[in-house]
Amino acid sequence: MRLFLLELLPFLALVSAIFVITADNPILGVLFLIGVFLTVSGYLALIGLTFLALTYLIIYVGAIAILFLFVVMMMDLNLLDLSELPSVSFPVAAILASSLLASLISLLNQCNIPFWFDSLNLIHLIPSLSSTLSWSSTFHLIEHLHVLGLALYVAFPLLLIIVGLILLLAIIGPIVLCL
Amino acid sequence: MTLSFLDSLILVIPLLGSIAYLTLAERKVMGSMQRRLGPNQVGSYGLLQPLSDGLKLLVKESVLPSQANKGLFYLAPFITLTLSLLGWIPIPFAKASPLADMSLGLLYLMALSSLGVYGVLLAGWSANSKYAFIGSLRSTAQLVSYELPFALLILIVVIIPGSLSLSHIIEAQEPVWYLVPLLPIWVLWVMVVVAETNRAPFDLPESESELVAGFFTEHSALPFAYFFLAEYGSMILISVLSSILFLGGYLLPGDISTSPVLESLVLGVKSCFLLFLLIWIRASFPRVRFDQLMYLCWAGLIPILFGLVILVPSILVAFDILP
Repeated sequence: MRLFLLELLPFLALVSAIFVITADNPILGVLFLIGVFLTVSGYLALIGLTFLALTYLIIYVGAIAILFLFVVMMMDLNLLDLSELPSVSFPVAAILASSLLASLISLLNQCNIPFWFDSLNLIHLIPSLSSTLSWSSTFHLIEHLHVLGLALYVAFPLLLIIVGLILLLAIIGPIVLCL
Repeated sequence: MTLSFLDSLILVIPLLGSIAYLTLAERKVMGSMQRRLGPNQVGSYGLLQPLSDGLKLLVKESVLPSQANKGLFYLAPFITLTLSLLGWIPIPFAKASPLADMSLGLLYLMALSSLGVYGVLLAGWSANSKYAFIGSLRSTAQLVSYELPFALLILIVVIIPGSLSLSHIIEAQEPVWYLVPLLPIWVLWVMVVVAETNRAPFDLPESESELVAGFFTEHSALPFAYFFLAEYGSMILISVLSSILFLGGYLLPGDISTSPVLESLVLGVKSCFLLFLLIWIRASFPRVRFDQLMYLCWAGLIPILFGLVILVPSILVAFDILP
């Protein structure tokens, strides 16, 4: 059952990704985008990355897609005719898409991605973390949350502080601008 | 994590019963607070009133607006009810008794509560009516804004036991319920809970005097009943969640040995007290204006909570009691 779902979910994600582009009603387009997010988060949960799946749901489906939907609903959009789009944008899209695909393929070739993520092989995906930890202490990390926390606070503490500051500015800035 | 069909039925059927009697309790309690009798005609003391209301909604005709987007119109109440029922999976009613004991139970509940906005948004848009649409936009803005203080409050509570699992949080409250050390945070929590469940005085989505009934203005009969069940179901769920986070869940104060039946009764009594609190708040306060609601969230709650998110872990570090 799990193997079947592992094949089915990426397929559904691809199909709904195609529908995002071809839907003539922008709201249906956003709904299919939500479908992509949902299937991807289901896939993440199935390969063992439950924490990432849930945060993916909260951030992408629960916040970003809602903002898209909200904005699209408030604008007075007419139904879009795809054949009227200027053909200039197609070469640009092709170049962007192929460069993205090339970088993805080179990334996938570099690292050895396991089929099932438990906390042990998650540690070994982060080289700077697995070199600082002793071999025996890795067995005490039973949850993904511990591994991810160690990665953030031990391997990349400076980046974490910088990201936190940027996020704080991004939250406070709009409040100051709006009030 | 296999959920058998029977397990789910054992959970859902009593839940539907308690939703029915919560509506009756609300009308009775509000009646007493306003020196009225409340429903007392159907059955003795009006005890059969929820059943007759449900039957009425079942046999009514379901009206579909001619300009509505049919699929989404019927999908929205379905999404809302399903999400509100799914939230019960990680709840422990007694020691080691949830349907699935997730190590990320609280995160799962937050994910579900952020998905709940879709039902509201789609219902308002698909009905193609001004009242429903404005209601759904207001409701979405409110839910999305109050998501942030909700998450911050959960973050503060979670730091103390150091776990996202609901049963761990309850076990960590054996020495003292979190209500005692976190009393100021409890007050903020009640305000956020009232806003998250769309209850008075923050029931802007369905402010009757301006918007008829908010986002489900056009929904009638069974789809309306779905929204109604979902709303009261999430009220009960959030009361149970608050009693787990702050009132020690199924624990009795002191070292009293308990049985599973007694434990779930204790959880039930605590949750009933919180539900009574929600009804009490509804009967006591007038509805706030929409800009006041937003101001309260972004300029009142969030700065305080940012401060508390730094203060509470600092106290834990200072006394060296981090988990």
